[in-house]
Amino acid sequence: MRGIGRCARCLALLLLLCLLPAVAWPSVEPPPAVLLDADATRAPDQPFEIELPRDWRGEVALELDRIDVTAWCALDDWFLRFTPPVPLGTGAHELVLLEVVRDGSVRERGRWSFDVRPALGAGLELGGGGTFTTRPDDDGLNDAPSRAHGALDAEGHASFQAEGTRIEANAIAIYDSNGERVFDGRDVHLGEYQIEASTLTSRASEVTARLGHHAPTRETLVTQALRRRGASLEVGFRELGIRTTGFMIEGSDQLGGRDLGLGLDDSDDWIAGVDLEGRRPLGNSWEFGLGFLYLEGEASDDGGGLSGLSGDPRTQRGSAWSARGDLAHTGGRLNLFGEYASSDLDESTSALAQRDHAYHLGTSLRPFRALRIAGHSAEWTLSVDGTRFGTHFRSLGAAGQTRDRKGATARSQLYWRGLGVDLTYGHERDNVEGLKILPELELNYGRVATHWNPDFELEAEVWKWIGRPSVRFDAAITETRVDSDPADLLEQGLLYETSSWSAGAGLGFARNRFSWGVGHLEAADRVRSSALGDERTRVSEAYAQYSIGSVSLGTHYRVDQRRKRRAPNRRVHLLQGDVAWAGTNGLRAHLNATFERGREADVENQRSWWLSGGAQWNVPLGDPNWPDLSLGIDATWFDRDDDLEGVGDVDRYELFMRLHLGWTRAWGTLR
Amino acid sequence: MRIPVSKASRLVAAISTLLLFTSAAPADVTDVSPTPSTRTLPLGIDASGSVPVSLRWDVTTIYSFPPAPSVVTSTAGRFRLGTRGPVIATVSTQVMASVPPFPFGVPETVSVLENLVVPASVISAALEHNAPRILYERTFGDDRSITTATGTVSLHLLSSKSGEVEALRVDLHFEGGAALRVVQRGATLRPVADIAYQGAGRVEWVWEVTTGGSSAGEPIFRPLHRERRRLDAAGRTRIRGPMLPTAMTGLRLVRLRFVDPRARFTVEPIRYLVRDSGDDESETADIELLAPEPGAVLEAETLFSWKEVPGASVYVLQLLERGSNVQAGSNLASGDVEPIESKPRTVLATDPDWEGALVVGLMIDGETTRASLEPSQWRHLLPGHGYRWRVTALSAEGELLSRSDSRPLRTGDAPTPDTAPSD
Repeated sequence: MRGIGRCARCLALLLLLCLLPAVAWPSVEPPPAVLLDADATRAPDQPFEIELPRDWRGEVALELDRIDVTAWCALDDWFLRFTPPVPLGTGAHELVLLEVVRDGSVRERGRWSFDVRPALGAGLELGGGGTFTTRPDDDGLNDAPSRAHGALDAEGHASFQAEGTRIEANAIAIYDSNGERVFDGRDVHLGEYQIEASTLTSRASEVTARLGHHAPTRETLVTQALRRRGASLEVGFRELGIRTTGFMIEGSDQLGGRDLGLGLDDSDDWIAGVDLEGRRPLGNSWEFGLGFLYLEGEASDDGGGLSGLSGDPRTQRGSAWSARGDLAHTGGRLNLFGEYASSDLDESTSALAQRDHAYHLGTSLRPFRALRIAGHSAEWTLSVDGTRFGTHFRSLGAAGQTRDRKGATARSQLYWRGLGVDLTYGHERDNVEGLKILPELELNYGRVATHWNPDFELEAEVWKWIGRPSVRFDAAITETRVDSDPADLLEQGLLYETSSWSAGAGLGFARNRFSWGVGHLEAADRVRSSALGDERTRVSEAYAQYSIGSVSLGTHYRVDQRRKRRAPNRRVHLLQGDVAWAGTNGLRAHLNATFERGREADVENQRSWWLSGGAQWNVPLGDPNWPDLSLGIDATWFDRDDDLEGVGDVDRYELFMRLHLGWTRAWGTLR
Repeated sequence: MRIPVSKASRLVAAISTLLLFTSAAPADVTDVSPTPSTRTLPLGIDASGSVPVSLRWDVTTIYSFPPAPSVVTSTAGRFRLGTRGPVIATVSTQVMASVPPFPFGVPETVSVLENLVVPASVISAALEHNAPRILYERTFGDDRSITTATGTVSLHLLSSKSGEVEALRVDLHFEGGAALRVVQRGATLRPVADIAYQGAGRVEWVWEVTTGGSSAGEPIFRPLHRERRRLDAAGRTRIRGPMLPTAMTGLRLVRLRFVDPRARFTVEPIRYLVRDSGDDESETADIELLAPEPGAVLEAETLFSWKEVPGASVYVLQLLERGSNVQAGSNLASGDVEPIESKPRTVLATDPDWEGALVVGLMIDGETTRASLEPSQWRHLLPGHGYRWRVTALSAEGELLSRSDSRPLRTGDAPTPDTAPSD
């Protein structure tokens, strides 16, 4: 990677400018309240006792998981005692103490997280079901599966709790006689399962082990959906604010990566790593966080990839790591962050090993603590960040020559509560140095959104009929500019600049069990190119929903038009209708109709009808310990004439009859 | 023996005629048309990597007499820098398609699919020469045909920011992260898709679910919800799907299909099984809500009230996230981009039954059946925002006795009362 360039210097200056006012702020934090006996774990009915600070002037309010429980508190001198009126559920909770000052403002004076765990308990919940389906009639199936079809499913959840140790296991298994169709060639599909065991080794640390289908670590390290399973071990040191996770995950079509693209793109094998994160308060409302991530695994073989460092299909395996840090004001006033990443990939088809670097620096700032505009509060946030990827475009023809890619973003966001207005302006730059055909790009975008609900009394008779109104409006403008060299690439249409706008509005009404509304979106993309055409989009939709007694009705219509120069115009209509009925003797029925019609170049070339319905009777067997038994009938008719898809006509119907047994039971004190 | 020339000519003609009738006639290739004919290579990702491109070659042939089955073949593909530029690489993969017999002189078009991988070395070579595009060509013909034809695909080397959006990966799952769920009848269930993409532009997709019984045979997917958004260059977004049908028991499949532009891969469907619950819902009869009326504007003095539930030790009044302004009735005006790590953005959900996360709540004694929000709780509420409220009755042991339906309400435009947090 080349040295720090002009972009980086600008960023450093911005960071400094943002940091100076933050340092200059006077910060006088009121002393916090103290939760006595602040154990990390508590019994379900264990009372709380909080010592209030001596400067307390306002009213007391206490929230448990955002539920106000002040009514269950007793204040004795400077001590507040809260006794839960019902046993708290097992798991994580959060208690927040608030001081409501006479002027109406609210100050948070304490926040505590804890786990509720009974001293000893166990629970088991099992569920299962069986379905037998027969198809008396069908038409149009080229490769019809067997007419009789059976499926069994089982689901289990077990938990055990003893002092600081908790073990939980979940599993789903499905047997399907058409399994080769449904489950990739297998009759028995062991669905998703997970075993989790956690224990408090001491009051300050916790160890959690997970096995089965789960996300290995934080959300930014995404692993893709199906067959994602593995093992992970997480160790947390509460007092130090450190948490580390080691994992090994295998799966199909996985994706590993962070914002910078650090990671390995694993398509069919495994990926392993360790993630370490620590966060500590610095006092005066400041805290800092540090993180480290290391990944190793078998790399992509399908050519997919992420922006940045990974995804090279020639790699057989590799490793990557990143170190990151942030400094944040707890009130959200200022946040500074940075990350450095590196990856090292072994290539299978080249003698060259690929070693990449990248960094990411940024800051966000809320200049005003209590901004008010026209009597209403507002929030204004500024943010800038910059990235630089090393070895982004690498020359095979001249080994060792690399070209970096750099990008920068600036954004201003203002939210004004007066009219619910949200204003956003952003500017992005992205370019690769030294490549004439990949010019510097600029992206400018602005967005305004507002919504309005009349809060005055609507006494006119008409409002009682059509319902209370609400309105929403959203508009956005985006412009892409290209700094091209040579300029004739623009003239040839091989590079092009774009500008686009969109504006949407929705109008809705609600009255008792009846609601209806309409919406419309207009959008245009203008392409400054002789080779490509502008595009105009227009989408309209309307809906209505109504329920009376045991019957509910719903309908939805949408038309989507796209006009594109140098391409056929396209228009798609979608009309849906649903009727559902729930009877009193275990009888229920539903009917759904969907119609989709597409027109391209003013010629109707796609028409699809779906009509499906069914009825079901839950047979009352009298004994609550017996399984639920239901008999049902389902029918589907599907007709498609679809030139757009190029698959020709389909006209078929299917009639199914079903017998279903379902059963769920739970035992024990833990659920 | 010397054979006269005229006899020899007739003999050759006879043999030729015999061969003509006893062997297959060649098919002349008259035209080759690739789809897509132009394609922007996604250099925004990593130009040092190979790029897969799916191609379809439509090959038009005409049979000589007599018609007979034949095979059109292209033995190799070539990369060029410009129409008359040098060949910089060759793809030695052979592609072919069978041509059925059809009447003499009638043109017939057959399609040949090719999964082309543009090698990194080809892209790098083009970048070194500052070439704006790479041409990929194939020549098709019958091995006995007289004529052949060549088709060319233009691969533009442009930064993806000026090109169209291309989905790279889609992580499709249900809320909570699972790809397989067993839910009780009537449960609330929504799919979520985390999408990694490149480029910027407008994208249209459709959520589809199988019809009731068809998952026990050939699945029939019907559209559940169409959506069109403009994605900026963030590279990642998260979209929440519509509420899925759970009124009837059975197995259903859910998938996300990109309509425009189409993804170069198919998103594998996720599954959910709706099962009858062990408990009939009548065992926990709904609490009847009295006030406020549906759609009412929430104010400081708004009094919530409901009918008493025998045996209730406490009631819990809950306000749930409902998405901004549900009554506005459309998701069309929703925001264009929802970066995966930003705080959840309100959307205009068309589904009025959607109940989101708990926003604020109040615990009330079991002897009381009315309550108002505390002033400190208003800091959690946004002005002009739609919510739903419901009441749950718990026994002294904390067990669920009964729960009401949820009822919509919304806050006014003015912050009422003013309880801005003082940090």
